[in-house]
Amino acid sequence: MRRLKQAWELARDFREGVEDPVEHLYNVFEAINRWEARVNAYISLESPDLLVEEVERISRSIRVGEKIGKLAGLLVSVKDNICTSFLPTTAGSRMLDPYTPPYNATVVERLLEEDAMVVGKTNLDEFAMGSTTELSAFGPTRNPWDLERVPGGSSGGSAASLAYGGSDLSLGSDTGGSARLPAAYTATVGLKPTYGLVSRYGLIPYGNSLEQISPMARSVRDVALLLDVIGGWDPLDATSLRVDRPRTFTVSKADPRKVTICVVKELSEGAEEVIEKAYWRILKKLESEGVELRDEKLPVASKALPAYYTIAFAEAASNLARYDGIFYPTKGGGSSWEEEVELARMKGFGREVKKRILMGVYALSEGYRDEYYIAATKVRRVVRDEVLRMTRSCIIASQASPILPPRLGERLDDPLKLYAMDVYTVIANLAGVPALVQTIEFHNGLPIGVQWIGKPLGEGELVSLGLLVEELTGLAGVVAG
Amino acid sequence: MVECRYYSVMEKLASLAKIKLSEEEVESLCRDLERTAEFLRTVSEISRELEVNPLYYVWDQWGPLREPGEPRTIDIASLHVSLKEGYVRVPWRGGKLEEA
Repeated sequence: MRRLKQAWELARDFREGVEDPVEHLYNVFEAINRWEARVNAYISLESPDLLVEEVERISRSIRVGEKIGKLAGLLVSVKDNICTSFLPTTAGSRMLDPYTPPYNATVVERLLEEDAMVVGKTNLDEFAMGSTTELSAFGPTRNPWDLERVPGGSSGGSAASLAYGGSDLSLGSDTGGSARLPAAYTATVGLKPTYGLVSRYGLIPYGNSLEQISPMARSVRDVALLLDVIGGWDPLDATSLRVDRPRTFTVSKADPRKVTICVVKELSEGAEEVIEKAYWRILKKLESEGVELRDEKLPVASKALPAYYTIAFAEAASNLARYDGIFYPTKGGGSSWEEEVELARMKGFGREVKKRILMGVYALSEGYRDEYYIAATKVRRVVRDEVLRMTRSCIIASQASPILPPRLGERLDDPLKLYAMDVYTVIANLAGVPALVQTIEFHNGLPIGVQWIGKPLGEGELVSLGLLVEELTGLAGVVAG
Repeated sequence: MVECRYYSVMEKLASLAKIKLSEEEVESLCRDLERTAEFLRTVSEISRELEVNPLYYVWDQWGPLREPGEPRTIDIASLHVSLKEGYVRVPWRGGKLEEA
């Protein structure tokens, strides 16, 4: 299996003069040229000339011993629903094509402060509404491990860019599993942080009580490196927690004798047989290393998926009301204000987005509100309380996806089949807690992931366990091809 | 008229959401809406038995999102805005204008 140096190793080697960041930039562009026409991971790419200029500046700084940032010389891809003032930000929608925001998201500012280079903006399901990255106005992204299959979504472009070596690190976003499902399908690592740990300022909103910008990478240590750069309090985001920058990069691999994993029945069954077997194999392996496994139950888990989608649809209906054909690029061409708005939304939104807005309006409307939205928020409280109770004393284990990466088009004919892909991941978004997905095995060339769910601000513990698992599997840094 | 119980509901929703739908979209979306609504309704069955309050903000136990600050007062005379036919013209903050 092909492997690349981990990003943190590269950054260290650039600093120590062992590797040349200019040469590395050319290698990444070579991978992009080789794969991109088939994979479609990027919606827009930064000009190579600009990047060469920037990397030469970094290279000079290293040579003369100037202080450089933690991410100097590394190429980071950014999901196209995260605002950048130097590249268009479309959210995968015709509605925002072409739109270049007048400001950078806080996370982008923090990347640039650490001398990272943004290589491009990655493809996604329109407004992050999907689980396969097939629902983008800019065409589907394909999975580098099998080009007939999807990379998961909605951060499929970010995951695919990592999986073929077209970036060193990536920023995704995760509303109900959008960073973690792609991680499971592309042999990468996705970490959904605690709600409020990473600023959402500059994230084009979909379900704002659920979503977090999420670090993605080819190894657990790399995800920690990126989290430490982007995390911490931001006065520009009212939901940002007043906490210091996280320090997860330096945590050590977990001592198995000090780890307790809760095996929740409802999150450990229902997947395809090969996934279930791989899941139990890694748990048994951990147990043999000294990890304590504890059985738990979460009866309300069966209602988590409909509760999640009800809340997400309701928030989407509200958030996407701003696209009225006036402030953003797509115009309706109507003769009255009403007609202008209706036509702009007809032209600008894709089918799935329209459906979610309609369902959200339905769930919030007089007469149905109690039955749908209020009911879902009550279920959310029970889920949150149960998850907090469990994670006080253990890390929850869960399957990452009920299926292997599906073939393109396979899940699109039935909305419920599409939504069911998120059955294990939505729990962490409803509860606001961190969750990490990493690869544990391959089956017929396709990766299988596992999910670890932690306590609020317990990212360090997840990284620590992830490092232990990575040592057992030996899958850090793998790439397709 | 398509065969879908949600047809009239969908027309109303589209009007509320200010989205014009093509005939083709009406048919396929109506079926999806019907299926999805049935699926989401399963939450209400269990929630009737739950004696808990709704949860809107996940860290509600840690207090409010942000303490409200002192109300700010703005001297209207200091603003460089022009009034035209009852509308205020504000500075453009981004994107290319198709027309001035």
